[in-house]
Amino acid sequence: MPPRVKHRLNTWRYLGVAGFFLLAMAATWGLQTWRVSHVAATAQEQQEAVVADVLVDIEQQFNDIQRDLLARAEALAEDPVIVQALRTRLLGNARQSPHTLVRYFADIDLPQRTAIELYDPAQQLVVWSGFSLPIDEAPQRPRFEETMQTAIAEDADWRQGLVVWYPVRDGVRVLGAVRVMELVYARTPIRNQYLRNYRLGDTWQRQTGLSVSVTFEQPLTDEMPVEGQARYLQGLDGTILGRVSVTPPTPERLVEATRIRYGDVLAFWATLLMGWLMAGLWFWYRAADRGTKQRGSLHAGSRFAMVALAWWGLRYTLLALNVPARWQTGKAPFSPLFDPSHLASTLGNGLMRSTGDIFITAVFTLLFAVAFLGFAARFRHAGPPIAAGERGAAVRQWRPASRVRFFVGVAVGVVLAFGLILVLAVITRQAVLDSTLDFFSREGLFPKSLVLLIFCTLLLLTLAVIVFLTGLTWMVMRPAPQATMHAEEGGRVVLGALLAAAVPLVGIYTLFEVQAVVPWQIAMAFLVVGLGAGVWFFFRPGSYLDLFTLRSVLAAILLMSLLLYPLFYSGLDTQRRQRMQDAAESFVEVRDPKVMFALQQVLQAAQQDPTVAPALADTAHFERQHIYLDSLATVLLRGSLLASLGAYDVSLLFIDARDRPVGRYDAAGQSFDRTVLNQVNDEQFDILQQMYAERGTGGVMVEQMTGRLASDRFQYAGVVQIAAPDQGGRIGWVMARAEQHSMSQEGSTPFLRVLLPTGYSDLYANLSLAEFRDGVLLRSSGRDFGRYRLDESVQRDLVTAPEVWHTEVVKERQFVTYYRRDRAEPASTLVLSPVEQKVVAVRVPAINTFDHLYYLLRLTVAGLLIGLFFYGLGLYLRRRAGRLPAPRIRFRDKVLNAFLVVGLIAVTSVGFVGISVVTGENERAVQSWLRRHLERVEETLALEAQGDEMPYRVLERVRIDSLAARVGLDLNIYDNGRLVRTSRPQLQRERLIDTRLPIPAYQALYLEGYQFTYVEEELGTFTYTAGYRALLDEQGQPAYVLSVPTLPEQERIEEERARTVAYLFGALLLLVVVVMATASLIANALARPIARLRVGLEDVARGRFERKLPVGSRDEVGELVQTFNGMQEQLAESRRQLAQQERQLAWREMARQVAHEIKNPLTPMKLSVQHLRRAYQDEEEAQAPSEGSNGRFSRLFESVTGTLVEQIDTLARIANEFSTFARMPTRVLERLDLNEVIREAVALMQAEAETEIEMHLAADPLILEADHEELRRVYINLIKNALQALPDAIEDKDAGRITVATEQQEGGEAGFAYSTVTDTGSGIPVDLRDKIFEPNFSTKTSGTGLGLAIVRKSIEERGGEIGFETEEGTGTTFWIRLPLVR
Amino acid sequence: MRLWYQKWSVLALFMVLVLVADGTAAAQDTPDLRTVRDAFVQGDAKMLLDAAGDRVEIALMGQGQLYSRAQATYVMQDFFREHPPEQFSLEPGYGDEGSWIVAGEYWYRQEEASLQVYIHLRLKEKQWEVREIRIEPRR
Repeated sequence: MPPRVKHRLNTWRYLGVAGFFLLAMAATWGLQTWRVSHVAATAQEQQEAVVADVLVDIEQQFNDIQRDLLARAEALAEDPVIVQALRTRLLGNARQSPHTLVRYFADIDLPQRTAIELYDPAQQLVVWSGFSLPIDEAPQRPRFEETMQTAIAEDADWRQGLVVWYPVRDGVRVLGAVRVMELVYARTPIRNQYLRNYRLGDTWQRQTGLSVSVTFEQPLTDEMPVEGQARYLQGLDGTILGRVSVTPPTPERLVEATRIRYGDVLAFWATLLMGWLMAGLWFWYRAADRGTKQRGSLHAGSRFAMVALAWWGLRYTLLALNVPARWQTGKAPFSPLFDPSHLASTLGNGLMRSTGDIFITAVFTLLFAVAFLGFAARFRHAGPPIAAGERGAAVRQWRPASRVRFFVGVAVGVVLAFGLILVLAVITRQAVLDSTLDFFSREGLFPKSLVLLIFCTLLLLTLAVIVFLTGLTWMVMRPAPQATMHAEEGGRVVLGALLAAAVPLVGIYTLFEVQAVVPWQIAMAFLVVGLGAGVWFFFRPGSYLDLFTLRSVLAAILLMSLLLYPLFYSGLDTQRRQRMQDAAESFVEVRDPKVMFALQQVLQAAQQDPTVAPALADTAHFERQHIYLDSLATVLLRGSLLASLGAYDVSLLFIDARDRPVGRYDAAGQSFDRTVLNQVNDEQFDILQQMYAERGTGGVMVEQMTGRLASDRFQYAGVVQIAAPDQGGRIGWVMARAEQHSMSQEGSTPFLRVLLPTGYSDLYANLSLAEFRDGVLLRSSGRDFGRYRLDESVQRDLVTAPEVWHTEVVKERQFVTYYRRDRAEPASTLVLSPVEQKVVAVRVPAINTFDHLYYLLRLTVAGLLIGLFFYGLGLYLRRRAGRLPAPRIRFRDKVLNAFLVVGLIAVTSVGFVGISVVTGENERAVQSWLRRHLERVEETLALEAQGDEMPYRVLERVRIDSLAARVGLDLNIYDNGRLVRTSRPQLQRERLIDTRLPIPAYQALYLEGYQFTYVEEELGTFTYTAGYRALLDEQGQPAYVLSVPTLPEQERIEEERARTVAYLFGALLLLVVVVMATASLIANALARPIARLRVGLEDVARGRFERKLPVGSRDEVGELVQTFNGMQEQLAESRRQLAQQERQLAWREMARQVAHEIKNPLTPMKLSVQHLRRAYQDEEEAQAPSEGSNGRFSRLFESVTGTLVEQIDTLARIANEFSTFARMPTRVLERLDLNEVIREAVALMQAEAETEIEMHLAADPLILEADHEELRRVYINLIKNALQALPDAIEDKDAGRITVATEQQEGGEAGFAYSTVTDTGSGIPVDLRDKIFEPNFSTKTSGTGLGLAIVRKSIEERGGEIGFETEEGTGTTFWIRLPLVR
Repeated sequence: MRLWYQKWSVLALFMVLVLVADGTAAAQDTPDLRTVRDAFVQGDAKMLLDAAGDRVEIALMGQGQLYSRAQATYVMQDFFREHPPEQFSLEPGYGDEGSWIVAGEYWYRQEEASLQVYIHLRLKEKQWEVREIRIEPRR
């Protein structure tokens, strides 16, 4: 298909898909309009249908719950173990059967909010597991022993449970009954992260989205609501257990729900359409970009700007459409992602309005950054990589197109880069500050899911900033085409660039207060990494794929985490300091207007309630009055703001006309009638009454008073006079009081933070607070203020500043403390007036190095998730680029990977074992703590004993609260498995602790005979440990069980555990870094010499032997390199000799051929000439008379033939020489004196010499073994060369000298004969020295050039050496060293 | 020219007076709750929290948290989206030593029941700041 047609077809397809989305949108919109109008028109029918559906659904679910309970009850009732145990029990073996049953029940794993009980036929509880509820009315029913029963069990107004009874039968005989319960309603006195109310109706309400009201009160008293909107909830046995009513949605709501439902679909189509259009725009941009590579960057820039605008337009459109948050509401699994109560910031106009949205924004940003990088790639240098290590050499390198533009670009680029870093810092800071997520949590290695997501988000943004910086670098470094730059020039450019970068940065930090948001060190780190990456990839195009290897990904994660962490911690630190300031402000607040307002509200409501006066006046009916006032107080307190202020103990006191208290009722539901009211109530009322009278204005009066229980704590109290409605006279008073819980008080156990409402506990969590007056501690909360005096240095600092921050070390622990002077600063004198001083201090443990490492590790762990994605992406990209499977794996990589795997395994193992050890140790410490304290309680009881009185007897007579106060612990006392006394009655009253001993504790203490045990328990979702100790009676049986919970200490225990965990993981991170660094070093140390060896071997393979490898170490690798170098030398020598031999062989062959070819015709030629001469001579002699005419011819003939013969002889000599070289004559070795041979040679050559050949021969004969003739020829050759080297026209004959010398040298077996032939000639030129012994070499116009080649061959074959020393213009000395013989 | 100069001087003086007057008005003993009321009537979280402190405690149906102002804005925005306002009334408040607490009743569309609203304000640097918002079903 032609490309044009194909292109058109693709365009039509693209438009077709877009058109489909548009059509789908239009259709959905039409459907929505129709459905909305239809729902509006048939609202009533719709309402009925919705309610009917919901009711059926609820009924179905309720039946399912019952069936589950029934199945469990039936299974238990028919279980042979239970049947047998009950049968045994009935036979009278009461001790044996509980043992089996208790063990059986203790092993049952129960679902949340479920409990089981087993009763005998007398309705006595035999064994249990889980919570307790009072007995319901089912056992009273006639068929109770025959079949299953359902009922609702109520525990005051705190809890309700759905109950299924099932009889345990042995044939016809009834052995007992199983009771299985599930909570359907549970109320908590306060609500926080651990304690939540639970209503089955709420679950259905969330599921249906409608208002569902469920009533389980027994008996059902109210009338049935509107028919069709309510239904009875029946038990499986037909008993009516409750009633459910569903408020039908209003027509408006129905319409709105319909509109939203279709709106969701519309948003879906719109999202697809926008995504499709964006994809189209992107491909258009890419195609246009590819087609116009050569055009100016302005066109490309404008196109990219369009894409960028569309991209961010898409993001904001998604925000406007509330996509994808609109699809994740209610029970959807990802709904927490879009819940602003976890994180929401106004920064970016919605880009950060929830955890999910900020994550999506981060993904958008990273993709945009990558697109920007693609755009900036057009500016990147496309030349080959720079040759490294060639210092000073002119290499083909980058050069800016224009220096001025480059420096301006650097300055602008740095400002832009800093802007990006600043934006990241602000986002990071706001992500922490505008969040309620606990980033400081130290619960383990893995952060909670939302925290993890925020970490990932911030890391993605950090990565995006680095990518942006890389792109900016490429744009700034835009090179000039085909330019080179010398190193010196490069140095100047780099220096200029550094200056251009530094100037704007210094300006920014000088002019603006950005140091607090982005410390300059952090900015520098970002710039170095970002710009470094930019420069690196600028000169190495294509190497980005290396970033996706596992090692690079891990290194990048660590780098990103290191870059991000300081910014992140800055936000955390700011948040912590803000919280400390808020806590200080709250702590010092004298009056709480909320409480005063709430008391006023309650008292006003009491005054306006027409039933209060008659109730107060009804003194004749004591019981009726008490019940009514109890109910009235409940209504008044629960309906007020006081009910939600969990940090206060609130109570109402009713006083009759004679100023006598008639009843006190508190918000927790506890009430005291007039018989038990203590004197304190009277005294407080007297004071208030007096103040009320003095004020004289009537109405409600609320005042702050000294605390009732502790004088250092304020309480709020108010009073209102109740008048008779008709007569107007006073018939009584209502007094309301609210007292703040003590956070920590000497002599008693601290208030449980787990019982504080959410905001309150958040504010003070992990903080210690103190108030100092006149430098002396007035009150404190928390454990960390041990000193009763304010440090003088702090007082001095507070003279000049209203608030100061100190980092202090207290008993070897470091703390950060915030001090705030709460009053106006004193008089101008610098001496602090202690009388004026009021200081609030807030202290928190400082974050130490290990904490930092731990937080950094958590950040890195989050990065690993991102890394996993990028590694997967890298696998795909590398495979596509043909890099996978890798054609070769570097040794260094192998070593590094091995270290990495070993390191990670080691760290994981250590982490796992460490956590196990820490958890185990922590558990043992808690057990030990509990055991020790329980023993202390028993010892305290023993000290109170009179005579031989047993501790349990003492326990019976001492007050539990005084005992608890003495030992400083919370105490619970159980009698035969039931809670009988507690030092925290509030917990029992509010059903936060169960009244029954946990079955594992019962089993251990009563049946297995242990004196101490411990059990993990829960208060809501707050887990703690309780220790139990049996107090034995005279028979050695448990009379009572003492229990101490870790509740007040649990936070400290958790904190210590968290700290240990943090230290462990911090150390592990350090270990990971050390392992990685060591691995890198070792891998480099191992791989570098091997890489050098590889290069060396490659050189050798290429025939280059001259490069020796440096020996970097003294180990085996160093020895290997040395051996390699030696081997390389030997190879070089062998190669040289081989080459020489080859050349000689070639020359010999050639010489043989030449000799053969020349010599063969020479003899006939010479013979012919000689024959001709003889013939001519004969003819001449015969023709003597004609001498005159033939004389000239005769001379010419003689001359020519003589020359011919001479030349033939010369040719023959040359041929002989060639022949000699090619085929050395057979040597006849003999012992001879070298001096004699030299004398002969000199004597022979002296005839040809024009100068005297001097001889300096050794005195002693130099006996060696050689061929006499061959050796003489050697010296003749050398002397001949020396003679030829002498200048031809030497004026001064003495100036040209030839000297032959010999001497004996030590060495070898018998020493050496060392001889030299020296001339004073012109010397050998440098460029000819290497060729002097080569066979084809000759500087003469005549000769074969074989002389010296033959000489060397002769000498070397005799085991000798030959060489020369020469100096141009001075002369040459040839030396020969031959081995002597003995 | 002289007229122009005089005109701008008068305008500048007027601006200064307005600013001073505004500052004076902000430092009143009792908070002006009109903005709060309007915000609840219109279901406008931004308007409600414009006058909030850096950190605000918001307790909705018993679940409370300390939020930054920005986060609180979105939390209240969500609340208003789920409970679109129908009617809102404020009761007389109670104030003491720079604090002010006021209760209100909030009716929202789609439900007949109303919600009880408590708002706590504090005077800080002569400005009343919303510090706490509690919304819970009427008991």
